[in-house]
Amino acid sequence: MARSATAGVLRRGFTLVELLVVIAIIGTLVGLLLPAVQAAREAARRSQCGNNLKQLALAAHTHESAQRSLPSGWVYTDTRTNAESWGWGALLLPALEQAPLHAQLRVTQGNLAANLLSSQWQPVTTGLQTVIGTFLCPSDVGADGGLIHNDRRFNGGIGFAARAYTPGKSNYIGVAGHYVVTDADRANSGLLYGNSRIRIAQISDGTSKTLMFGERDTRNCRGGAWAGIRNPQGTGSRGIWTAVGHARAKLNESALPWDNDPLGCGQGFSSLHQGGAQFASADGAVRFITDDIDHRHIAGITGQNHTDPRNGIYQRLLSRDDGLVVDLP
Amino acid sequence: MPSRLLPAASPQHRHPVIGAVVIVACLVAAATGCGGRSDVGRVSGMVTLDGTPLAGARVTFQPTTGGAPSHALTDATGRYDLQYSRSVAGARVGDHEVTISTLDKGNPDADPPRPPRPEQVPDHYNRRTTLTASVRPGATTVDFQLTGSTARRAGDHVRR
Repeated sequence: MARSATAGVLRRGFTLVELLVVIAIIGTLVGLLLPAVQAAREAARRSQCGNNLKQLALAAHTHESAQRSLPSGWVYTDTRTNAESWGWGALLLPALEQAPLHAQLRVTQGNLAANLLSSQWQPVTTGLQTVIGTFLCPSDVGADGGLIHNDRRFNGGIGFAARAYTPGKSNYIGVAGHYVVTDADRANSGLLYGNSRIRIAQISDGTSKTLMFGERDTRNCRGGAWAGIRNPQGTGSRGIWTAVGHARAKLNESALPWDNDPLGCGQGFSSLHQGGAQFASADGAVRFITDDIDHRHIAGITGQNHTDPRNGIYQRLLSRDDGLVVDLP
Repeated sequence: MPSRLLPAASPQHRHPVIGAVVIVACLVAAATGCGGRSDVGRVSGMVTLDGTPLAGARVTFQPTTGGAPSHALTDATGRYDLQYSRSVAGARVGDHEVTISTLDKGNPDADPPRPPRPEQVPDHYNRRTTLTASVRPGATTVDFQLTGSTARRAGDHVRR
C-alpha cells in the first residue's frame, strides 16, 4: 500500500472471484461453441462421405455406358462354398481411375479365389490390401487402418487358406434388394446381387426412386470389402453381405450387440452420422435417409413379396421393380 | 483503499457469482440437451410362453400408422426393453402390431457362431399376428402371456 502510494500508481489486481467469473464465462462460451465446431467438422466429413457415394454412382454409370449394364453385385462363376468372389467394387475399379489395380488383380481373367490359388498370387494379395479412399467414409475412421474389420476378414475362404490377406475396407455396399438370399439362384429385387448386371431399362420404378449404394459403418456393423465377398453360399454376415445389403435389417439397426443382432446389422445399411445414413440412387443423386423412415418388411421365401403394398417406404426404395413407386424423402 | 482491493469480502458481491454459476449450468444443459423425444415412449415387459419365461425371442413393435419399428430381444428371464434406434429406447407413441418369434436362421460367422433356432411361438403371434399394443408417452409396460408352444409340433419346419 505504502509502496504503491510512493510510486504514485495504484497497483490494481484481479481478485480471485473476478478471475473465477472470467473463467466461468470463457468456459460457458467454449462449452457453447465446442458442439457447434464438432458438428461442423462432422458435416464436412459427411459431405466428403456423400461425395464418395457420388463417385461410385458415376462409376456405375460409366460401367453401364461401356458394358450396357450396371456391374454385378458380386460375380457368381465359382459355385464352390467359401470361394471368394469379386464384388461390384472390384468391377468398378477401371471407372474409379484404378485401372492399374484392376489389371494387377486380373479381375476379368479369373475369379478371386482362382487368382489367389494361381501361381501369380502375390500381386493379387498385395492388391487386395490396397486402401482406396473412395471406398472410405471419413466419419468412420475405425481402428482398422482402412482394411476390413477383424471380424469380417476372409478367413475360411479357400483362397485365404492358401494365402492369408486382409481385404481393404469399404464403407459402401450395394443394394441387393428385398430378400435375404445368399446365392445367385435366387434373384433379388434390387440393383446389385449375384450376376445381376441390371440394365437401366429394368429399373421400372425409376432411377431416381431406386437406391443403388448405401453406407455401412465399421464400429457397429463392421463395414464391408470393396474386393467382394468371402462365400457365395454363406448364410452369415461374412457370406455375401460384405459387398451388398438387404432391406430387412432396419436402417441404423438398434444397439443390440452386432453378433447377437437378430436382424443382422452387418447385413443391412448403417452409418455413424446422427439419425440416418446416405444413399446414392440409381440416377446418381446422393440423399440422406433418416433412420425413422417408414420401415415394414413383408417377409417370405418365395413369391413376389417385394410387391406387397404393405411394404414400407424404405423397402420400396430398395426394390427396382416393385411397382410401388415412392419419391425419395 | 482496502475496500476496493477486496471486493469479494463484501457479501453483496457473492450473489452475482452464484447467479453466474447457475446461468452457466443452465446454458450447458441447454446446449447439450437432455430431453427425450416426445413421439417415442419407453416400452418394456415380460414374455412368457405357456407360463414359462421365453428367452431369446425377438419382439417387434410395428406402428400401424407407418413409421419405423422397434425391436428387442428377451433376456434369460423373458424381459424385453424396446429399442427404437441406436440412441433412442422405446417405440413410437400410438398403436402397434406386435410380433414375437424365436425363429433365427443363425449366423455361422458370429463369434461364437450363433446356431439356428426353430420357431417355438405359434404363428398367430408372428407370421399372422393378432397381437397389438398401444404405446403412450413416458413409460409403458406390456406383458405378453403366449400359449401353445410349437416346439414339439410335427411338420413345423424352420423357414429358410
